[in-house]
Amino acid sequence: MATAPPIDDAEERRLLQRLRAGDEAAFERLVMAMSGALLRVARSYVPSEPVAEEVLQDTWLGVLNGLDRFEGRSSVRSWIFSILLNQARTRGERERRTVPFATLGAREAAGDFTAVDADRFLPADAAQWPHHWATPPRRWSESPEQALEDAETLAVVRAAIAELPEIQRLTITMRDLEGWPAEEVCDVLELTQGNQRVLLHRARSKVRAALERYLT
Amino acid sequence: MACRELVERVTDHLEGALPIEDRARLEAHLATCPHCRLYLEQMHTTLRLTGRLRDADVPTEGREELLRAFRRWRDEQS
Repeated sequence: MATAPPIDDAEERRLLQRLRAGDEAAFERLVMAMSGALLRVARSYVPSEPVAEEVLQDTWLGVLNGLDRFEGRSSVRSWIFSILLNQARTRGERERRTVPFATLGAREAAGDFTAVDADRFLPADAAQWPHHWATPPRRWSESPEQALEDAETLAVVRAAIAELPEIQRLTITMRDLEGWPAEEVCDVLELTQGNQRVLLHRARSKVRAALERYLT
Repeated sequence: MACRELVERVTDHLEGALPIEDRARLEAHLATCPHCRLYLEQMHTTLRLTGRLRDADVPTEGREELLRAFRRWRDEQS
């Protein structure tokens, strides 16, 4: 089954109207266009594929049952994602206590962080070039196309993302995997623009570091 | 700008969120530092590889079930 083309804002509004009128084709279009992304996020919360698919099914039922209450203050896909996250977090084993996103996001954006280990830079009191590379990055591969595109490298990326704290994981998934704009991620995850960038930075830096460990 | 600062500001740079004077400092540093140019290149590679994880499709089985659920929902509405 091919991945359906993404839905733009205008189509989203039309689909919502048709859905409310009971149009099955509109429902199928939404399901086809969004289920892949929803399933990928669901998987990161629950232990098995069948449970992730249950969460997906429950999400779409929640969408149908919530249609009357949706007021259009956010985009349709933000709204659908919020329903999924609610389902997934309640079902997931990792987060039994459901801490509000805003709280978790602020927590994960706080505290010290270094994108690269401090000992890879010259110390502040170095006679020359303080805070410049002592151990600079090395090229990842002689023939990047070959090594970078293989399944094992992608598995390293997938594993690195899976290990991230919840909101960092969701932020990098929505931004870099699904290609959402920053504003929508802030909307669904209740983040400020600034915190969204901090979380994205931490997530991307950790994935880069994982690739570096694997490839050099 | 020193390398240690660059690796922490690279996301703000890619997001277009750096104040103009910091952006100028960062770009001036990149122009003279091959290590940081490589670091930035690796960041782009990281983004590209993350994007490649976007693969899975909806299982056909689940889709049929959903459409049946939709029909039930629609019938309850009328």
